[in-house]
Amino acid sequence: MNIKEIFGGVKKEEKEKTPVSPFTSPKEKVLREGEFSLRTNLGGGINETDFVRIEGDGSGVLKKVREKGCANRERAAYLIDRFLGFNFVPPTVLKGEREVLQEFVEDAETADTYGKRAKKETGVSRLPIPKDQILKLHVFDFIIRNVDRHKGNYLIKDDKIFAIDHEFSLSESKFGESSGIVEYQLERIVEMVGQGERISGDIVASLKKFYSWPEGQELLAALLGELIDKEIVKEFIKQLLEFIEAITEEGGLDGPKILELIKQR
Amino acid sequence: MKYVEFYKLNNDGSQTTIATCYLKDGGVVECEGNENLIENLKNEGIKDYTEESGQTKLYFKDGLKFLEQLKYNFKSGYLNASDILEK
Repeated sequence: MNIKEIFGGVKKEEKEKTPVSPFTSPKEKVLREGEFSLRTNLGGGINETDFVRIEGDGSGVLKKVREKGCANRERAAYLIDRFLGFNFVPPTVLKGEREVLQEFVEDAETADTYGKRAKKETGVSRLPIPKDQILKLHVFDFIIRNVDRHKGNYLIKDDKIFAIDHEFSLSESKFGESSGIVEYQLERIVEMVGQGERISGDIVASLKKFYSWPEGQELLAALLGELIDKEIVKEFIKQLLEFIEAITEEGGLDGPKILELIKQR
Repeated sequence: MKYVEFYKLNNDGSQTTIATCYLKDGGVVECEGNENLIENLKNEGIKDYTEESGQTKLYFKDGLKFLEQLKYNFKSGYLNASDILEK
């Protein structure tokens, strides 16, 4: 024991480690640290939004949102997306108090403008949005308690969905309260599964893996806890695990467990 | 006449106006431009963000209120709606 330890109070406390996601994409570093070679202010919308070109590595949409919580929830939705294997949300990072930067998806269209008409105009053969993708999106929205999904805030590219605009997910004001929209999402999941649609195998496997990975649950909770209220995070993880329990290995739903979930909400 | 424009974001960061919705005499909205978008607006309506529940929808018949809510519905950057403009 050295003299400093004997007299106490001088031993440096070990610094708390900042949790790091094992799913961190290299793109996040680019978004976080890259220099902008172009920054153009976009017209319209309620947020101050810029299109940015990142020096030598793609583009992004930079949003200055009304409050810090909105930016944090955008990042939180991205983290959940990665941990659970949905791969819907383009890499998303915080850029300051109220700014959030998300990778720009080139050649994507909002679901609002995607349709048969474009097929005629461009000569590109396009299929309707696959039902399993829509079901997967409902599942994602239900999990993140997103109260703001419509055709203006998801994109389609090569028959794949990209989910954007998650300012109103994990909403503190509505979380835990009976939100009609969240109930609606669960009803839609139940309805689609009832019609024979199944939650895709990759997402079932990914959710089940998360369920049996307590360290991952703790890590996600720690990462989310840096962004949103810890009590909300605790409740989120609890409800997520209950929902995963209600999903069968075949991508169907366990009726009694789902009824229990509906009763709780 | 009051109207709202829709701006689609291109790969180079420029924006293209792809549709316009007008408030017509009689207080009803009419739109022209991208047909997929207009069809969706007409059939599915838009969210009314002034409503707490977030479940109320607005349609062309709702006139000025429909126009006012467009910019809250289209705010992603990929497809933005303008404020109400006048000409």
